[in-house]
Amino acid sequence: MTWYLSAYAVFWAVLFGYLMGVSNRQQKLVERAEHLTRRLSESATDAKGGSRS
Amino acid sequence: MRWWPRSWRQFWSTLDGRTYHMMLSARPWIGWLAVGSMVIVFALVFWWVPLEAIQGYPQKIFYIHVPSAWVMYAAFGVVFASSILYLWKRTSLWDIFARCAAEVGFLFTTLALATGMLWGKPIWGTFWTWDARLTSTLILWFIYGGYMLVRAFARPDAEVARLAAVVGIIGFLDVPIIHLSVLWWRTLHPQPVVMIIDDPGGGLPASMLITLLASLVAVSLVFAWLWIQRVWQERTAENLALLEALLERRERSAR
Repeated sequence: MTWYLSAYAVFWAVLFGYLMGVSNRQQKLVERAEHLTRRLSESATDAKGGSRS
Repeated sequence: MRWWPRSWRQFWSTLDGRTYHMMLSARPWIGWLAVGSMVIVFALVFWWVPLEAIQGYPQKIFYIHVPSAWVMYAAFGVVFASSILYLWKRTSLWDIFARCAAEVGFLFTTLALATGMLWGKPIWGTFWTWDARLTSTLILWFIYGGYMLVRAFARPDAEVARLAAVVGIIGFLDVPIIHLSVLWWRTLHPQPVVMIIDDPGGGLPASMLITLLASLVAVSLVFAWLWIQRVWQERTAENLALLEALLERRERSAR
């Protein structure tokens, strides 16, 4: 019984560990996209200001 | 996008994009089906399928060990096909398909090895033995471990992608060796038990076969979802890097 339960525990632990890694990568991608969006909007504002002056 | 291309040439040149869009539209369904089928499989394993008469509880490891090994074969099959298509077409999507399949395939190879070791201890009396199937699987684990190390630490350029594609193709040659090793050599690892062609009454009893098939479907769906998710992340990262480079160039020229 111990080996059977250990095998299932290892299976789930490894799978969840990997899933956490995938989820962390997703979070980093979202942050990177948000940062890029901010930079894009700032650069658009600067370009508008520049064209007016 | 037209569903069917006008010519074979167009078919092959748009296959990566079509596959990617199909994968993305199937992703939510695959995710929910994976969760649902996993719940069913664990209910079957814990409450329904009978205990095997000789091995008892440790035999239940079979329902995660065999599907992990099957997914390992499928994942490296994807690496093999995508690597060939990358060397032919040289489009980054084929490279992304290959490297993400290698990553998830490596995960399932680790699971097949780990669950096999935990099954081996109570039945064989040892976690590990240098048996043909175990050794050839360990070699596969090292091949794709090396593949991933190179991809993780080398600069992501076309040269590395080309080299990785060659390793991905050559590495796959180990898969048929693993599969046939139990027939080619006298090994401690058991020979196929699911269906015995020479003996129609042999093989697994119906309840065990149903549980195994359900588990094969569930673990394959988990693999498919993880692979699609990783492909989407890598593609998005590539697009973001392109946008960042464009923005940087624009900012530099504005200064």
